[in-house]
This record gives sequence, structure tokens and C-alpha cells, in this order.
Amino acid sequence: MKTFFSLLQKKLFAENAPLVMLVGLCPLLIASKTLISGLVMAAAISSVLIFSCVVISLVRKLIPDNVRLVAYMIIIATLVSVAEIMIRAYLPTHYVNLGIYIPIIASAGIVFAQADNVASKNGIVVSVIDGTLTAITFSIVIITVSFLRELLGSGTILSHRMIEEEYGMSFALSGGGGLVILGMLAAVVKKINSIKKSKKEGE
Amino acid sequence: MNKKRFSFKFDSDEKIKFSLSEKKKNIIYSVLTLFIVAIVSAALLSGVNELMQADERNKNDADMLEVMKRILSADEYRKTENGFEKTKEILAVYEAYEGEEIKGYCVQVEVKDYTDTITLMVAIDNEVKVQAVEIVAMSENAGKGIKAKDPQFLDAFKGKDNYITANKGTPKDKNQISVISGATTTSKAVTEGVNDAIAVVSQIKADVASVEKETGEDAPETNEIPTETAPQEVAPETQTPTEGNVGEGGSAQ
Repeated sequence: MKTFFSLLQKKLFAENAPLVMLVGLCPLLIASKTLISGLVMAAAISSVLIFSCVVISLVRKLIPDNVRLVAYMIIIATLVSVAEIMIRAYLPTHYVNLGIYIPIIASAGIVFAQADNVASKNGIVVSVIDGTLTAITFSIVIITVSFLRELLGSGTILSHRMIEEEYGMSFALSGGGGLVILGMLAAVVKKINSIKKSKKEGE
Repeated sequence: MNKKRFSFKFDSDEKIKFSLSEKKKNIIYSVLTLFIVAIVSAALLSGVNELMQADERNKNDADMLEVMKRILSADEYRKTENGFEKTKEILAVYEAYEGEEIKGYCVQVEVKDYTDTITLMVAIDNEVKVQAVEIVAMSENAGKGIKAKDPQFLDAFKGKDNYITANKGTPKDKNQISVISGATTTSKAVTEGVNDAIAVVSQIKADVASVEKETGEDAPETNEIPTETAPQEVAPETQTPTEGNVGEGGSAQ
């Protein structure tokens, strides 16, 4: 359990996928206008990440090295399509909102990096743990960003009004606003990282 | 370049031949692997899709039913295809039955503001008065347009029975509503959708009236139906199902 937390900490700060490695930004920016769409996207990406880790770590020895990227692409795209069908079936209202953006997960670097860096080199247990941690990291980031964007932009949280309508900053809802919020979060994580590093050096 | 490679291939050196065949084996193995991966993926996808599709259709109908129950409560809702001109904006028209009597209509309309598609459910009663308007689905990308979900705006449609115009400022006319500031295009699109729904229901009403007259006494066919829609509506096969409903409705009246 202790190693799990230390691993999570490492994933959250030193190797934060969206904020330090800057992968998976496309779905992150697209689906973070409202908290609920952020939650749906987090669920979709998490399931795709974990299942792709399972499948790829299982078949990694069967796939020749020179076509591995293509094969991973097909596997990831299949899992994304399954996720899309599931969302269409069980969350139709969110499918209307997010539908055309779900397939973009297939091209998101976060899944692909995970598949090629971890799942193709490790056994199933290690890859699933690592994939889960990446999924948790991504979910935390997208939930934070979408929370801030919805609160600042529309003044609501899950469609409950929090701030008077006239104080809403519609800039936060635009793409630029999303990038600015993301940048601020990245700065915070970077600061924490540098503090940690200097502490380590001091010891 | 091409020629050189060609000649190289046929150079019958023992070693080169061996490495070539090894490479070929690799290629065949890779192609086969990819083929199998693709086949398995396709099979999985089609299986999942097949499983989900039926479920999805039921779910969608159930969702619509829930929305209709909320905005126009009745015992039963029956989808109707007759008596109106089909356009791509009108997704579905439901008759709301209370017992055997038609209580009103629910029209599912799809409208576009400048970027997004909005699906509306409009409940209209027998006097062609709007009972309620609900936004069933709206793309998240709407951004500012999301304001159109404001119940105050949607309530303003209640009781309207004619072509509605959306203007800025306070409404002066009975069939006028004020647009949401900052979401003018969306407000106008929603208003257009409600107008479409009103038009459809008045067409159905006109059709019912004309069929009624026809069954009663041999009245001319195209009575209150405006212009080009007329020939379609009085086509013999579209009449027969409506007649039954009209008989029931008429006797109750």
C-alpha cells in the first residue's frame, strides 16, 4: 500500500501525464467545459487506458516488433469504439454532447504512450497498476480543469448555480481559457516538483 | 535503382537468398498478426454494436417517453406519421392519448443555431396552444447557447398558439417572446423549432378536420390545408389510419 501511494505521488507530480509530459491534452481541453462532461471523459479514458494495458501486455510477445505500433493502434481504436458504443447506449445525453470527441481518445498520446512505454514491456500486473495510476492522474487533472472552467465560465457546478450569472467569465469556456487554466495547473505542479527536488538535494 | 534491386534479388548467392527468405517469413508473420488483430477487433466491435443497438433504441424511446410524461402527462403516447408534411427538422410526432381521446401532441424537433444541433420536445394541446417546451439534447459545445435551457425562457412559450417571433427587449405582442441576452441565435433557433412544431400540429388538426368533413358529408378534399402540402395529405393510403382515430375523437367530442 505504501509503495502504491509513493507510485501515485510519482505519477501525480514527477511524471504527471497531462501536466508534465503534456500528453492527452486534446481530450482534456475538449471535454472540460462542464464538470459532467469532464467526468464522462475521465471515465472513458480511464477504461480505455486500463483495458488497453490488459490487452497489450497479454499479446505483447505475439506481436512482431516492426508492426507493434500498428497493432496497438488497432487495439486502442477498437477499445475506444467499444467505449463510444457504451456511452451511446447508456449515457445518450452525454453522447450528444461528447459523441464526436470520444474517438479522439484513440489518437490521444496518453493511451499510446502508456501502451508503448509500459504495457509493451511489462507483465499484466505491472502494466495494469501503472495504467490505473495514469488514469487516476488524468481523471484528477480533467476534473480539476472542468470544475474550474465550469465554475468560472458558467458560474455553475453540475448545473447548480454557484456564482451570479453576470459574473461568469465566458473566456474560461473558450479554448484559450482552457489552455490558460491548464497552464496555471502545470505551473503549480512544476513548482511542487522543484520544491521537492530542492528538498531532496538539501538532504 | 529499381533495376539494381531487381538484379540483386536474382543474384543466386546462397547467403543472400537465406536472409531474404527470413525477411519474407517475417513479413508474412507480421501481416498475419495484423490481419488476426484486425479480424478479432472487427468481430468484437460488431458483436458489441449488435448487443447495444436494440438496447439503445429501447432506451431512447424510454427517454422520450419520460420527457413527454413530464411535459404533457397522458396515459399513452402513439407515434404518428400521417397528416403533416415531413421535413428533416421534425424527428417524430406523438399523439398523447388520455383513454381513447387525443389530449395533445408532442413534437420532437431538431433545430440548428449557427454551430450546434438542439433537439426540442414541444407539447401542444388540442387548441394548438403550446403547453411546454423542453430541450432534450444540446451539444455541449453550445457554450453560451446553454443559457437557452433557462426555464424562464422556455416557460415563455407557454400558451402561444401562432407564429412566434423572438425579439430583444420586453415582448409587446401576445405571440412575441424576448430573446436571452448573449444567446440570441440560440433563442431564435429554439423559437423556430417551436414554430415548426406548431405548424405541424395545425397541419394535423387541419387534416383531421378535412377527413372529418369528408367522412361526414362529401366535402371537397383540400379544405383548410395550405398550398403544396395538400396533395400529399389527402393521398388515400395516408387517410385510412387517421380515420379510425378521428372517429374515436369525434364521438368523444
